[in-house]
Amino acid sequence: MAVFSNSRESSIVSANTNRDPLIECSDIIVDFGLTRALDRVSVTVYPGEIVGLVGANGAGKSTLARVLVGEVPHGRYRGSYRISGEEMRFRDTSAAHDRGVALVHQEGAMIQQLSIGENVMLTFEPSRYGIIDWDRLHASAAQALSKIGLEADTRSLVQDHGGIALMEMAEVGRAIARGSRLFVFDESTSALGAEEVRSLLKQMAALRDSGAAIIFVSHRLDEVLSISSRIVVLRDGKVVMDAPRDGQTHDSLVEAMLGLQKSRQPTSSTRQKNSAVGRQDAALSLQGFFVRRSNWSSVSVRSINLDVYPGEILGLYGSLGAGKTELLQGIYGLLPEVTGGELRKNGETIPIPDNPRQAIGHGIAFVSSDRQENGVVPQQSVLDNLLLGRHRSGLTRWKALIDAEAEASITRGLIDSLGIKTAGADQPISDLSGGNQQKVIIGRALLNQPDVLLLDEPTRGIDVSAKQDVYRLIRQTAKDGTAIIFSSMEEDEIIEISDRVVILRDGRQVGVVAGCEPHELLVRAGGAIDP
Amino acid sequence: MNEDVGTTPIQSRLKSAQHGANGTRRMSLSERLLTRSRSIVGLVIAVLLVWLVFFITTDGIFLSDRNIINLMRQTSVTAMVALGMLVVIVQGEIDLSVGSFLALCVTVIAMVESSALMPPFMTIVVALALGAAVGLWNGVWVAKLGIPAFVATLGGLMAFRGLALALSGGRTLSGIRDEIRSIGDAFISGFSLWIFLALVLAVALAPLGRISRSDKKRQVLTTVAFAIAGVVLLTWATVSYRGLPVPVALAIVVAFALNWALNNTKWGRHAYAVGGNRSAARFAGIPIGFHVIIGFMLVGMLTAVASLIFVGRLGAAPPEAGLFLELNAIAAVVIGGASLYGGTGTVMGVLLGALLMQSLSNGLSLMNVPSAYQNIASGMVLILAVYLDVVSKRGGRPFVRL
Repeated sequence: MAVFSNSRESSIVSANTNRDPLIECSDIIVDFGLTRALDRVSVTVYPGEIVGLVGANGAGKSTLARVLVGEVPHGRYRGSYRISGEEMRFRDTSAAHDRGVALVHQEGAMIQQLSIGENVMLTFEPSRYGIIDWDRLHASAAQALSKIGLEADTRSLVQDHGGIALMEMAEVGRAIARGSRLFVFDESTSALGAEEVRSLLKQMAALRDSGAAIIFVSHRLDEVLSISSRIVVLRDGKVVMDAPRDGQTHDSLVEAMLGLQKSRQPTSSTRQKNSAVGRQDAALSLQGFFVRRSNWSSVSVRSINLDVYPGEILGLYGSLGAGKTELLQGIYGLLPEVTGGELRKNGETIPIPDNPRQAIGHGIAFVSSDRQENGVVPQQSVLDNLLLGRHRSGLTRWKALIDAEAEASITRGLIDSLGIKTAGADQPISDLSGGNQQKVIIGRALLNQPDVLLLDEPTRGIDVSAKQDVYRLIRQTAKDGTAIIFSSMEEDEIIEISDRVVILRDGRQVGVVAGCEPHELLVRAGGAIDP
Repeated sequence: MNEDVGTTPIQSRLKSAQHGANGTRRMSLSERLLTRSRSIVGLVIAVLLVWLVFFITTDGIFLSDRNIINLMRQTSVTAMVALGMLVVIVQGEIDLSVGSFLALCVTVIAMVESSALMPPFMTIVVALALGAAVGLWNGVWVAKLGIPAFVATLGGLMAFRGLALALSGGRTLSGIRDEIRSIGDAFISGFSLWIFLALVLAVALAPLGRISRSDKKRQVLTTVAFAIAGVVLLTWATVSYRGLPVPVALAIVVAFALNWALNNTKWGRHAYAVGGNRSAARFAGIPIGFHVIIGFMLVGMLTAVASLIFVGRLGAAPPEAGLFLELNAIAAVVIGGASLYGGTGTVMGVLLGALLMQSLSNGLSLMNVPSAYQNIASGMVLILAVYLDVVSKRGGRPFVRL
């Protein structure tokens, strides 16, 4: 990882003391319901520096970024937020834009069908009498892009270039053209390949050298270490470290992120060891399983070898863009043309499913990480959502006619056993809270009595008590003999619930561990161990 | 509605914090009143209002037994096609080709009939097979080859009418035999009429049998009350006039059958899911392509039935048959409360939507209003009806922020 070492300049840090700070946050407090996301956070950023912002999931780094860019509006947070000494009261993100604060999205928010120049100059196109001055537009766009060392044909369409890296850079270009001074990069490298990451980091350095202030939010500690001049570590909503980059190492950051949790006992020892592991055939076994990069899968997953046994919960850990979703969707038959490798079920080789129906036929069930997009049918009732697919025999007569009584009693049973809080089976699912909707979707997967249950971040976006319900449900299902793969990017929950953990990074399997600690997990997924 | 759509994770987290202890969202009183009052009840009120106005302006002619029968017969062709269109729209697709296909189908029927090579029974088989084939054609383009339904069926709209003109040479074909004619203009009367009416009443009362197990007793009672009122009206008009026209009987049978299938078969329940959230339906293992193709085939076959009615009623096949039929059918479905984005829509709504549109043109014709003004009135009613529905669905707010 010596590639980035040239972009480290400690002189910047010392120079800061002579300048006025660009951003001053003091005692920022943000509450979401009963949870305190940020607890008296104070951060100062000077022009011409890159501040790395790191922390475990839920530590509050995204929340802090959202306060800075106005996504958490004034009034939702307490404390003071000043730019160049002036108190800010942003109503929304466009107000923050006007004051020179720009967020660079994870995947870049660009309009594919427009040219690069149009995208860079979107909403402030130079014009005369309402007619766009194309020459001026492209000149301004090119000038903005040249500041980050990017030379692209601004007249070519974004879609002809493809690649998230270019979209992100065009977004940075847009922010430069608007005169932004603070750039918040929120996990901008998570969806990029190694080559693209390198050029993005180089451009961040160029941006810094032009006098802008940069906050770099990232899971990837190597990248943060390579480019930041200062590093701020958040834990449980508090700043636990704010120090110059020099003198910091991977280990010191991880330690700060996790605090004294290092001494915590591996949870698997407190739980009954799974006796099935290794003694019988794996319920599902992957040999050299891969997913190619395509229109449907933004990350390529390479050569995965894993086994999951009946009654076992196998954790699948990795940050955003590590390939968890692609791997699980590939197994479930959602990416039929780009998957390959060997799939074995109870010791017998089965073809990789062509569609979800075949996967269900093989006893494989799946819960998507995007509940709204791939889970609920908002117009339909709890009952219809719970039973969607109706693959289980006994629900229908002659596989076609609905048995209303059977449906009602099965639904009543599931509502009780899953603890779904609803006024009745006929209630529209859109009336339920997110956690209860998620229980319905999990119930749908369990209805088919699968041998293998694939859960893709099943606790995303649901509240704490619903999370506990989901964990209980998953443990109970495993106890009944179902093999479970549970994917998550939250190290705490993955350690809490899994018997073993498979770690993914950039679509590659970097390890299988049993009963590990958060520390080890973070280190491995963060890339300290090169495959 | 779907509260998590379009909100940031923060907003949805804040929202979930606002949820009550029972985990469900509370609706305000005005929200509840507005959602209650919409769709079926609102449509019935609209139809009754229109009828009242025409009753007064036509000195009672509008509500004479003869005109009621006439109105029902006029409605039956549009309703038949609209019922098929409902299935297509519920699944989030659209079929613009039905009007042109009706022209093609009546031409083929007339050609088969005038050649008199096959028994009349075979004419019906040919028409239905043609409907299924055209539906398959549309469905394959949409579900297998990935052309948007709007475009695929727009092509059909052009091509099928062209084909009809090419086959007929632009002339009105005649020579329809009596058996086929009876599909369009015969009446059911006497003993069989009473049997039919008794069956309709029995089916209309059927929900009462399940009322003890239902959570929505009031809704069931309302539905049954409307159904009884409809049966009474039907009985009065048919018994005092010449009986029940065969097309109306056919439409009633198809409506009952479709309503049953949409609510009581796996296919029907999943059709709503295919349109409501196609991705979720796919993830749940529902064969989307099969559903979409079946939908197009169904509307094709029901349009073939409508063609038989059309030819039977007219005794001839004019080349301009079915002009704007696709738009009237879509209008009926949309007025009936279905969303063009898919996932919602009911048979009852479609029937009332078709009845509302037909009542307008029938009543205005009785008042001797020129057809130009009839079209203006129909267009305005379409927009107004959908606007009222949309306003009630978004909780009474008259404007939308884009």
